[in-house]
Amino acid sequence: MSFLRRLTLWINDFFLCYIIVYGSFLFASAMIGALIFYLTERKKKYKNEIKRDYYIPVSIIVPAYNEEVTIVSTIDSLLNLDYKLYEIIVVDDGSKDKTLQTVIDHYHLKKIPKVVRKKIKTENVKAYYEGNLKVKLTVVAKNNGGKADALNAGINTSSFPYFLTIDADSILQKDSLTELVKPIMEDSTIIVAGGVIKLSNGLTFKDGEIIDYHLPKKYLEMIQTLEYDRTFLASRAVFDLFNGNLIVSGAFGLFKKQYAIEVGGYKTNTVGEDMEIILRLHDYAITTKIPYRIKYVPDAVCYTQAPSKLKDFKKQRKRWQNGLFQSLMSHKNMFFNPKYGLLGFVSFLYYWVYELLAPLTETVGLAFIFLSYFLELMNLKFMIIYLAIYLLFCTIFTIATFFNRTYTISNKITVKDFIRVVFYAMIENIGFRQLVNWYRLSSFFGTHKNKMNWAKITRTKMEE
Amino acid sequence: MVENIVFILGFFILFYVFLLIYDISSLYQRKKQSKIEKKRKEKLCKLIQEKEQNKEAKKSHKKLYNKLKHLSYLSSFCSLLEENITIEQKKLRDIVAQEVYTNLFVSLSNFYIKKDNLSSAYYAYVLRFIKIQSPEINDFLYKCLSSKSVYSVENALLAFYSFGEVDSIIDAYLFMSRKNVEYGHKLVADGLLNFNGSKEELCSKLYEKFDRFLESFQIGFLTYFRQCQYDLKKELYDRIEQNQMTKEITIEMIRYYSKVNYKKIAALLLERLENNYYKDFEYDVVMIQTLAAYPGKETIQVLKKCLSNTNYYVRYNAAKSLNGMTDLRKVIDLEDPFAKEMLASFIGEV
Repeated sequence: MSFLRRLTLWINDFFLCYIIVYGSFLFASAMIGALIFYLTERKKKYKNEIKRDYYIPVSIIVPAYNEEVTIVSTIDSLLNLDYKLYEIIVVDDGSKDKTLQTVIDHYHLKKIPKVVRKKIKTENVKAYYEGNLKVKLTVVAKNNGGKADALNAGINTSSFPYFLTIDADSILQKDSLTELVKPIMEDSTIIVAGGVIKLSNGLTFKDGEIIDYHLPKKYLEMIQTLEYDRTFLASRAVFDLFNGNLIVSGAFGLFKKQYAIEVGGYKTNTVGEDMEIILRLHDYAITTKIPYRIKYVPDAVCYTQAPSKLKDFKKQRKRWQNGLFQSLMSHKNMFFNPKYGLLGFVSFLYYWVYELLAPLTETVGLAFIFLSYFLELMNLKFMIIYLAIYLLFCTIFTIATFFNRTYTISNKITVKDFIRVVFYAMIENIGFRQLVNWYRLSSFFGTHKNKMNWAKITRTKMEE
Repeated sequence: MVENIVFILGFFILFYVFLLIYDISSLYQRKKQSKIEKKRKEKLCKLIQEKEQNKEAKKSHKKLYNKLKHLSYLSSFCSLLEENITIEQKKLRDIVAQEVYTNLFVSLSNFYIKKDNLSSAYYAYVLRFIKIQSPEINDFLYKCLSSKSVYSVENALLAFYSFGEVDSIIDAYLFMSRKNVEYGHKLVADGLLNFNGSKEELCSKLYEKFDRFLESFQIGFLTYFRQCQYDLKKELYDRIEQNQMTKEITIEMIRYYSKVNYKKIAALLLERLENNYYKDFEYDVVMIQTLAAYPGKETIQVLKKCLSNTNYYVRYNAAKSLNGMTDLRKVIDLEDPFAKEMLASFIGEV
């Protein structure tokens, strides 16, 4: 048998095992995720919860760069939260548009000579602005230093023992912060709590509440909606069982400030600062032997905008892949290290194999299936059945996770949207998935000079 | 091997299809939920009405008991209690508070004491509306207090608070202290605000047995004393002076005086600030914050010195406290540039 034929057989076997392991993991995670949703709903229904008028005080940090279109909507949604003790800190990272002036004019802010202790080093802060609103709003105007640097400046400015990071194009529901904080009231070892990100594309908001729910019309936005729901059900719930989540989305994460400062804040030399700080917190807590939890809170929901243009989408996916690579490489000592327990063995293995290397594995795997046919190692009928089963598996999983999320957060969808979900779940795997894989693969070969910058994504206004 | 793998994938697909069908049917069920709930409430109202019309009837008692053993019916019953509907011209909460209902809730307590944490915690939640006390109900609530579930503890305590009996609160916390039950001081302090009885009497008895409680409970109680402004001026002053408590307790005791005014404490705190008595900035910060409630010449003098402290938080809080008691423009002419900068930020001028 020729070398090529042997190689093809070997890769086919490997790809089959890859699919079966991934399928098993998704099966387990879907079961566990669905069970957790069910149990959480049951707990709430039967008053197994801690309800208070006043929870822990929180500083909400909103890093912003060229966000003049969405920044006011975001701040308005934050001002309407059903939460008693919090402050809002907007960090303008040297925007080239009118982000800073928009906020100052809209909320009638005044420049103040604030003295802030720089617990974490940042680029120079030019000025502080504050206003008399129902919630304290502080704007930090600083020299450009990137998102991580902006977050660090926000941490320095914050007054409260916990801070929440959200993106400047995000909208929180009225109860989002309460839901995120509740687990901390019940378990004081929680040092980070991460919620669920859903896409705001297609939704209409008023005063921080969804008044109209429709799936987005555009193909790209629709596919991403399905993808987000799948991601959050697929892995976070399982990793949460053994405190093994390696990422809390930077768009919606609550941190105990003390520990964020002790690990040195966000690293500015990576584009995956949200994942990188989580890895560092795991490392710090395990090394110093402090009891800790990094918790996934499925009831806390944040809405963010997905890129609607292909060029923006491409930039985002390349940035995510780069961030993932940088984070995993900078903590490669944790991989398969017994000191880190299941985190080092299971979580890291998953992220290396099924996240970082997935585009390569899937591309090569599918290519070799077709090669098998041409090398007469696989007949046409079998190839079609094999691909069909694979596609059916991906499609049904996407539909099931989407409806599970929709059911648990009680969003109503029309029959027309139901049909669209089924259709897009099917066609996602023909073309779109391969395109994403290509973008992710190409991130390794792109220029490096833009790797640390903010991603410029075209924003659209969200509020009605 | 390939066939087996295809089989396994097929099984997963079947599971996801099942999950999908379950979600869709649940969505449909939710729409019917309000009708089902309404029917349950009507059945319960009918049973209570029958019991009211013939109070000795064992049959309606047994029917009620059998219904309320199910969480779904208990939930409907709880909704009726929360609405406090009227049956036979009486409010439901008054109806169930009658002696004839004691047996029913005692029986339910004996039932739920054997159930899982979620069910017990929910029944404890319902008991806050019932306000019937008996040894069996007490046993049930104590079982909840010793549970590992924070929700069981929370709901049991809320039931005790609603009864309005001081001694049962004290006994509950003593029991939890003996069992080393984990329950945060913030939960304690906030929870006590739900107490329906005499706050004065509660504070007095909590302080009487203060040293027998866990530290987290003590901190919670101190916060409660402060919020109620219960007079423990002399007692807490003596304890602070003797300085034999832990840091957290001492800090909370000092904080008490930010709301309850006592001139003697100002002199003690000023002396300790000046002499760097505690050698710990956290003590200094809380003393400075408390002194904001005691404006005066000596206070201003000591706080001015604190503006030059090496610790940022001490300087910040000193400026903040001074801001409430004097015109900072008069103070600002200091040699220390850090102190000047801190004051300028409070004056708010650029």
